[in-house]
Amino acid sequence: MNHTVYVVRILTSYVGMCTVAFFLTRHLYSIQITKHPELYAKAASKYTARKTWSGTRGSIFDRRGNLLAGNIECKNILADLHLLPRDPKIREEIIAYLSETLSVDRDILAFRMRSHAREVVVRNYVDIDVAAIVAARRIAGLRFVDDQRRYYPKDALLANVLGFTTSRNRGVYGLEAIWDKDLASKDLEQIIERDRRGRSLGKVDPVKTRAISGKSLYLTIEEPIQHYVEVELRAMCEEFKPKRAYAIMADPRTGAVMAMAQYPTFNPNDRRAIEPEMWRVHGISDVYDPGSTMKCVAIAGALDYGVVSPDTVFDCEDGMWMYGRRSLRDSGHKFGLLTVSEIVQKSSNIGTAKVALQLGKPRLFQVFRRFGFGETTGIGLRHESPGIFRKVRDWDGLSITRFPIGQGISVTPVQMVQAYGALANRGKMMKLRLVERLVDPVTGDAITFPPELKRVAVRPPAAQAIVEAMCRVTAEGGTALKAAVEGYQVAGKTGTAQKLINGSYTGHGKYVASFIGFVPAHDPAFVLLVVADEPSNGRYYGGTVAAPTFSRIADQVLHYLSVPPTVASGGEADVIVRR
Amino acid sequence: MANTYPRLFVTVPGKRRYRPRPSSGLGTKLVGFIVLTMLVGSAIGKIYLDRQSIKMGTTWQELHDKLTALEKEAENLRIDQERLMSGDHILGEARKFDLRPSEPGQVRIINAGVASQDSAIVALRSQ
Repeated sequence: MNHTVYVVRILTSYVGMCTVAFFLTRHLYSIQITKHPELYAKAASKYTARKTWSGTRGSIFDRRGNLLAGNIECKNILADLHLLPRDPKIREEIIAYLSETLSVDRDILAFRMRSHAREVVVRNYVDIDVAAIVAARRIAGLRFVDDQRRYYPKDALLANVLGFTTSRNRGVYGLEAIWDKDLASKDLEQIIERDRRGRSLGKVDPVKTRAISGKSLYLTIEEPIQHYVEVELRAMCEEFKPKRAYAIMADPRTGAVMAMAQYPTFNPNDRRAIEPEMWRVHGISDVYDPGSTMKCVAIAGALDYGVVSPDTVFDCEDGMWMYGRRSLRDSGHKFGLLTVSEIVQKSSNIGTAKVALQLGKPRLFQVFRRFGFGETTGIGLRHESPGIFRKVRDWDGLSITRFPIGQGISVTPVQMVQAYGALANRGKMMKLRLVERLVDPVTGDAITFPPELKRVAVRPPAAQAIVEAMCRVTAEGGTALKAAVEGYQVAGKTGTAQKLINGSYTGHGKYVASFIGFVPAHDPAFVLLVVADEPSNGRYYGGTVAAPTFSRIADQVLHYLSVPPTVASGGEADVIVRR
Repeated sequence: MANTYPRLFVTVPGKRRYRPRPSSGLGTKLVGFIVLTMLVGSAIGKIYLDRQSIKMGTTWQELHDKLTALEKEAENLRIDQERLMSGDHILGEARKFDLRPSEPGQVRIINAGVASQDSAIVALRSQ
C-alpha cells in the first residue's frame, strides 16, 4: 500500500517535471532557434549602432610638397522643424539671423522653413568658425553635421590644370577628374557597441579609417615657378590686352612640366564666377598658327638631312619672292644673301621657304611628324588637340613654302614646347608629363612616373647647329633682343602669326604673338613658351609682346633654380653665391 | 509497528564492531563557503570588469573624438599655412612694406665653393 503511494507520487512528480521541462525546452527552442534572428536583431539594435566614416579626398601637391588642393573641415547646418520654436515671431527672428550670418537668401530660407519635411538644410559647407558662432546662440532644432569641402589654398594658381570637384567631392574637370578614381575617398561603415545610456563604445581602428582616404598626387609643377609665370603673364595681359594668353615651361631633359599658366583664368574656390570658357586648358586644346617659331623646326630637319649647313647661303630676294604665282614677303625687310644661321636670326620667310624646297615635301613632312606635330603629346589632360596638320598627299603647291614659316599648319602650345624641348635636349624628345608620383598617404607606397624618351627628333649635330643659330636671335641683330637675360645665353625664336579668319590671313589685323626659347642655351634649365593671342594695343610682334615677358620670367626662374650665369656681364648687382 | 527497513549495521561474531564516526560537518561547510565565495566573487568580478570595459570604451571613444578633432584642426591649419604661403599673398604683404621683386640683372648668381666665396664676390663686384 505505502509502496504504491510512493510510486504514484514519484510518477506524478516525474510527469509534472517532464511537462515543465517540455514547455521550457519548447520555449527555449523558440527563443534560441525559431525567433533567434528576430530577437537578436531586436537586442542588437539596443546595444549597437551603425556608424559611417567618410575618408578624406587625396590632396594634390607640387613637386616639392606644397599643397595645391586640399580639404577643409566645415559644417552642414540643418534645421529640425519639429524642434524649432513654433512661435512665428521667434521663427522669423531665427530666419533673419541665419540668413544674415550664413549669407543665405532670406526668402529661400523662409520657404524651406515652411516645408512639410521634418528636417531642412539651412546651409551646407559652412566654415567652422561661422558654424561655431551660430552654435553659440543655442537655437533649438539646429543640427551641425561634420563635412569637408575641396579647397584650393593658392586660389587661381594652376586652376585650369587642377580643375575642380562637385559639391560631393567628385572631380569634374582637369586633374581632379582624370585622377578622380585614385583621389576619391571611400566610406567605411561599421557597427559599434553602445552602453546602456546610448554612449558609443566604437572601437574603430584608426588605421582603417585612414585607409579609406584617397591617394595624394604629386605634380611636376613647381609652385614658385608657376607663380612667377602667372604674375608675368598677368602683367603682359594688362599691358597688351590680348584676348587670351598662355605660357608653358618644361624641363627639356625630363619632359616635366614646370609651369602651365593661362589668362583669363578662374578661382576654383569661387565657383559662382566660373564660366565654361575659363575652364578650358588653352595650352592643350587651342590650336594656333605658330608663325616663325616653326622655322627652327624645318631648318633643324634640313640640317639633319644634310641638305644645308649653317653656312649655306640663300638669296632672300630683297624681301619679295614669287613662288607658285603667289608672292612671299619678308614683312618690311629687304634681305639679300643670308646664311642659314642668319635666316633664323633675322627670321626670313623667303630664306626658310627656300631651305624647305631644298628639303622636299616628303622629308619636310617626316621632320614635322618626328617633332610630334599632328599627334597629341599625351601630357595627361583631357581634350588635348592633335593640331591641324595635313598629310603630304593633301598638301597644295604652296604648302611646302608656307608650312615651314608656320602658316597653314596649326599646333597646340604643348606641341611647340615638346618640339623645342627636343632641340634643347640635343634632339631627344621627351614625353611631357604633369604627374610625378601617386602616393598612398597611409602606407607610403608610391607609383612614380619616370621621364620617358619619346623619340629622337634630330641628331645632336643638327640640334647643336640650330641652337647656335637660335642664340643669335636674342643677340645684336636678332629679332628678339628683349628676350635676352642678363648673364645667360638665350636660344629662342619669335613668332608673329596672322590669324586665319574667314579663310584670310590679311585685312583683319589680328595676330598671335609668341616667343619660345630655352636658357642657358647649351645646358637648358627649361624651355618656355609665351603666347599672346590677339594683342590689342597696337603692338603685335612676338619680339615686342612676348619676348620681354619671356625674359622677366626666365630671369626670376634662373635665380630660383640657382643656375649660375653662363656669360660675364657688367654692372652693379647684388650677388647670390651658389655653393 | 515492525521495522521493515533493512538493518545497515550488523554485528558479525568474532569481528570488531564497525561503526562510522559521526561527521562534524566542517569540511562540507568549508567547501560550501568556498564555492559560494567563488560564485559571489565571480559575479562581482564580472560586474566590475563589465563596468571597466564600458569605462574604457567611453574613454577610448573620447580620445578618438579628440584625435579626430585635432586632425581636422591640423588639416585646417595646414590649409591656412598654405594660403598664407601662396605667392600672391606674400607679394601683397611685401607691397605693404614697399618691397618688390628684383629687377632683371639686379641679382646675379655665381658658382663658387665656400673657400672662394669672398674672392668670387669681390671679383664680380669689381667687374
